[in-house]
Amino acid sequence: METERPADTTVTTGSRRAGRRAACMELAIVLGAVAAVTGLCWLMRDITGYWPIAWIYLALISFLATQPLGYAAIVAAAVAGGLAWNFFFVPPVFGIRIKHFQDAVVFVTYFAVAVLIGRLTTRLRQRELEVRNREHQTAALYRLAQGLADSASVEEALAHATQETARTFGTDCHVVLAGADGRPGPGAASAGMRGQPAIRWQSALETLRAAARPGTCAAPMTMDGWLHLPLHTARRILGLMSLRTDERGALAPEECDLVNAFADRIAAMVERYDLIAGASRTKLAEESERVYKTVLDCVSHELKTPLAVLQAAADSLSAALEPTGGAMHGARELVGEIQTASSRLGRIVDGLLSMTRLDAGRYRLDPVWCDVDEIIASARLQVADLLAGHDVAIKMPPDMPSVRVDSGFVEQALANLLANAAAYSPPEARISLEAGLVDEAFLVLQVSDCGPGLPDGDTERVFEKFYRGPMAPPGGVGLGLSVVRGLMHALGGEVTAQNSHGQGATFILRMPVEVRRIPESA
Amino acid sequence: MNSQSQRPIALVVDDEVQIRRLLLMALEAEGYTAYEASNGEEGLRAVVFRHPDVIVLDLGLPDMEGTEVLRRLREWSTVPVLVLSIRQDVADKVQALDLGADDYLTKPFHPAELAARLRSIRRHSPGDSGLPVFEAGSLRIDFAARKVMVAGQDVRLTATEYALLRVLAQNVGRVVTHRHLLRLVWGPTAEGQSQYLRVYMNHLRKRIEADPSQPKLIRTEPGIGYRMLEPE
Repeated sequence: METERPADTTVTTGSRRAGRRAACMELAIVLGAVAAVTGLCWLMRDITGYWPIAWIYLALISFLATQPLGYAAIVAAAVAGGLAWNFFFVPPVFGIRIKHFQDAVVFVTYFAVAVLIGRLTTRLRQRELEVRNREHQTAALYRLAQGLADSASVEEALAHATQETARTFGTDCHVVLAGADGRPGPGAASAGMRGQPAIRWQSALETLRAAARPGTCAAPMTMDGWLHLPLHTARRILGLMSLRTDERGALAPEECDLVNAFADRIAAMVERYDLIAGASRTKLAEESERVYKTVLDCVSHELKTPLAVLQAAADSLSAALEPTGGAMHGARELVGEIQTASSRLGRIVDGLLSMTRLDAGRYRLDPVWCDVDEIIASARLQVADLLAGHDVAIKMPPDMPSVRVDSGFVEQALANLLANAAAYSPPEARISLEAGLVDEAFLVLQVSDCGPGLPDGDTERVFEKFYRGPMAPPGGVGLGLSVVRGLMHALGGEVTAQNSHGQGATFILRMPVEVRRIPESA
Repeated sequence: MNSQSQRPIALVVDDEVQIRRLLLMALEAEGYTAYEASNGEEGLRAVVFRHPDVIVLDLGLPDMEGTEVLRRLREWSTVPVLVLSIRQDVADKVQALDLGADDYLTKPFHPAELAARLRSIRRHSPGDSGLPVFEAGSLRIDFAARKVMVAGQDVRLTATEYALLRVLAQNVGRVVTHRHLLRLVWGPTAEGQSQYLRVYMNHLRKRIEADPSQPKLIRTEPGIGYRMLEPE
């Protein structure tokens, strides 16, 4: 695939042309030097004789070897020097034949020494170059690490990273972080940019992702004149670092190593900031959770304690008045009013507290295996005083299995619906309650009353907080149904309202449950 | 000896002074001699000095959790304890009952119900099988003969159903948690298997209740356990 071509193959084609030009240049330099020395020696040949001239050539070769020239240039200089010495100075002059044995020995020794010197010095220089290169890389990495460590935020760190990369590699650099959904996220920085970069992040990222096999790292790739490197951790690709390569040419192999090291450092930095951010988010959430729970518990305690006192005192007073036969005029009625008012207040406080908990998400679901008839029985028990005088008809399939659900939430929702049905129904009216399973995965509970039904278009509004229907009986704040909706949302279910075919309203609870049928013979 | 010493002694441990005053009045009216304590330490001391016959304990105490009071108390005393708390969470109730509370009532409460619960937990100490015959409404259990009758008719129960019924009858009036029931009937390894308990309870109810969907003898305490209702 074109886009998956590894970066270093482009490096070799790019540098080969530049290398050839440099070699020609070097050859010209050494040949010029040999020619100059030959001319000089020609002038002094009568004074020195021709043997020392070989030493002068050797000195020239040694000098050239210390210069930043390739090994081939040194060998070329040695050959040219040897030939020139033989041709111009060794008798017979202007001929390449060597007459004396001694001259031949000097000639061969000269070559051996010249090649050896060239070899040794170039190797030495190569070593030096490598060391300098490594030092340069280390320094660049150190500067990068230092800058990343000094940065106070991920944005600052990214800005520093791109600047350092652009400076080190002498080209434009751009870093973009992938968001949670894999698209370019909020973190991005560029350096050395001339104009807007035309980089196709998305496709580059996707290609890198596709190329990364599980457990391996995605390789850098070239696309649109940019070298794209994935910023990855062991688990995922965090973002993309792109270097412009169309103008400066591809990177040399050692530069590739360096740029990979850069990418690793930057990825580690991004991950560190991610982890820090995650940890502080968790801590903050825990802290606010704790504070909220304390406040809510406190408010709950402070509201309910006086209510409990009020209710218990009214009850005791009522019991104490019993034997007197209501000696005090109207005393029993008055106590009855206190009892009614306090239980009404109690229901409102309960509704408000439930609503607050649900709104703030301060609840923990505790699904347990339970039977639907148990839930129905305890919901009825909860609102027994309100249901007094109403006939509750229950319809349920005989083979209803056990379900796993937070029974407290369902019970509360059902109790609120029953209370609502009782409030809107005429006395003695029938309330029907139907239970069933849909697809063996959803529990459906349906409560129908014989009340006035819902006004047109109110099937949604009835669940709004503090909404009161036009036919609402006095006494109530319009929280019961919104609590039901909150409870259902918490359970991952829903509540809907509709008018029954005959008369009255029907409320339907539908929630996902786990179902387990146990053989009867168990 | 004055008549006071004949009266049962109740101890109220609660940090709310109004609740304490109210409970004291209600308990005195019920024929108890009532003492009060406003925190856990004081409450534990009062148990030592007053030898109460029954304790009403709040969970949210200023110096220690009510559950901690229970834990310490149960190390050396079996005096019946009724927990009276604002907390409605099933988990709180189960914890208190598993730690050895005899019953649980949430505030707001009716003093008459409180009195009835106190009577119930005082009358039967847990696991009490002193009587050879148990009767509640239409139900009659003859422990010696292992015979169960409903409305004069013999009812045949399996061994497990009978064991369930016996445990509930021996703890009549008080809640028996799922864990406790499972341990007593199936053994300690069955403690997490409450769904089987439900199945057997359904079978049992079909045999002894007139209308299993509206049980009159064994009431479900959702998420907590079951309670055999006290005969009227």
